[in-house]
Amino acid sequence: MYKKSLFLFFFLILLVSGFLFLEKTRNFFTDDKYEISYENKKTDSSKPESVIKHFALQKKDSSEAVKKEDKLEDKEEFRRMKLKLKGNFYIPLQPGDKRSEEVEKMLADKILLEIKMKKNTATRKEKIRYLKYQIKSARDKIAIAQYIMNRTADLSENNHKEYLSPEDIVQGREEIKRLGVLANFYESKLESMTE
Amino acid sequence: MKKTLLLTVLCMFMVWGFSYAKPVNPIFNHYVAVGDSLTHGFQSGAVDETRQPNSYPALLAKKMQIEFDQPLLKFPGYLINIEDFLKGNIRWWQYYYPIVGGVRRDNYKNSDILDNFGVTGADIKDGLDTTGKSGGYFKLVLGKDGASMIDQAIAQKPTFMTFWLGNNDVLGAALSCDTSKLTPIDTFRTRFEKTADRIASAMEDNGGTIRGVVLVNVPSVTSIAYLQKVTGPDFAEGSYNPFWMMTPSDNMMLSPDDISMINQRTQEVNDEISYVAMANGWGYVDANAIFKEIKEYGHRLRDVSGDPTGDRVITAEYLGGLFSLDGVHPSNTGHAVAANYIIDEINEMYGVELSHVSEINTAASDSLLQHPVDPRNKLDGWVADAIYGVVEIFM
Repeated sequence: MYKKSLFLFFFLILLVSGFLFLEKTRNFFTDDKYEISYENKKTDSSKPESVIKHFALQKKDSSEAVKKEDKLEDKEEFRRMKLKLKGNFYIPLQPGDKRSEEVEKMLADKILLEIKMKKNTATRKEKIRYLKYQIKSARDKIAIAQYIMNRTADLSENNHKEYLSPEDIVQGREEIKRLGVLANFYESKLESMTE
Repeated sequence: MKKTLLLTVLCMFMVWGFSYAKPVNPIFNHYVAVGDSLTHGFQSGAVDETRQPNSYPALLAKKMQIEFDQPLLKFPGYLINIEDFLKGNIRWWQYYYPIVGGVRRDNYKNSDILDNFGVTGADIKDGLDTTGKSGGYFKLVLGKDGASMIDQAIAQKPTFMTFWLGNNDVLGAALSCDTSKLTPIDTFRTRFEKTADRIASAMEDNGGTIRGVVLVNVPSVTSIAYLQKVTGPDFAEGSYNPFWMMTPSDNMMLSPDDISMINQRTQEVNDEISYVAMANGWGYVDANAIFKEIKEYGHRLRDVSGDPTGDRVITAEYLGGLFSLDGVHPSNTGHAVAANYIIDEINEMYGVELSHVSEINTAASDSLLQHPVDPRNKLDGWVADAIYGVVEIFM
């Protein structure tokens, strides 16, 4: 009776340990068990580091309710962003949206001008146009970053969701400062060219 | 009773010991990777935490059965992934991250234990000389005041290293359609040999820890999807321009002479890499020949045993499966293909038996292959920045 119990005890330990072993190692050694979901990335900035430390594999999000809620929020917030930041280059286009032909031409022109500047083949007029684009780009980026900082702070007060972490805010403020300096630099260049 | 207790404790220790993965071979006790955007895991115009785990070094580490720390960037990264943008995968507030220049997931807490030193935009001079102070991707990988890629990689006391730098010394000229951007070959040779000497000084034979190194060479510019042949009476036959130029323009055009000059420099650079590998007894992967072969014949997907049993053949054309939407950097499937060619070399050179990455499974879960999306004719501030970003980081 004593031997039987002992045998059962060890058998149980082995069974549990075997299961734990498989759990622990499967994301290292298999290609199939985990995959990254690209279709609906919901990166949670509050996720503990240990979860994403090495391979950052995410299980496919099976919670349709969460997806729907997020999609509704996104739809509303993109609409609001467009309204509040009219004409901003960096308002994200949503699938199905279309920019005006004029803006598209401007963006294509911007790339070509940047290349001409790098190659030092831009004319004076093109340099002026380039500087104007650069100023607009920097100011538009600042506007979007500030908008998201403020809006997420407002929203999280009401819905208690987590958006940006305190570290994200610190880095954002540093970048806004840098972009401000950059915009001022381009503005002074433009001023000296148009004098 | 004492015996039972002892046996139980012994049993638990055994199980605990087994539950920790061991590398498939001691040579892989600690693997580090040094390189540029290809090593960093850059894809479709961005680097981010959801695709970095599919970079070829991370796949190699997985096959070596070791942990591999990467400087993960919060999704959607620095710049944006064109695919995610066009598919609407990015939440409204996540656009904050690319705007503020990317944010490290670990807030730089793991800087002392990183294993992936691939830095987007790095060329051969950056390997030894450029520190985190340079900002941009250098800061995001090396840390604000972090030492150079090579210094940090060697400080990790690795046993195995892959080294794939040199692409930006040649490809930059092709991406910006400007041959004056080519790194002079003498400069490249001097820098490459200096870097190789530094790695060699950390080999086990010289009192260091490194037991194996694999070098990878530079692909041909005409093998990547970024450049496309231009046809028409106004252009010389054999001219190329970038895929995103819907109307060919002289501002972004490589003439047959330019192509020939870039190819010659590529050959010279690859001769140097091959020579250094041979002189040091290191592994050498001829990515140039591999990409050329794929460009010509396509690539039938391989399974875990390395056999081409897949139904699907991917190509090096734009949207052909090997490259991501920026036309330069591999897709997830492309990274699996790259990892497997490196595994072939490691197995042959070091007499080990690393299993292959299943390209078939990777392709099956590669959203770009399963649900392709074409950014051409969908120019937007973000897409424009992503495309220009790719050009700029190579310039």
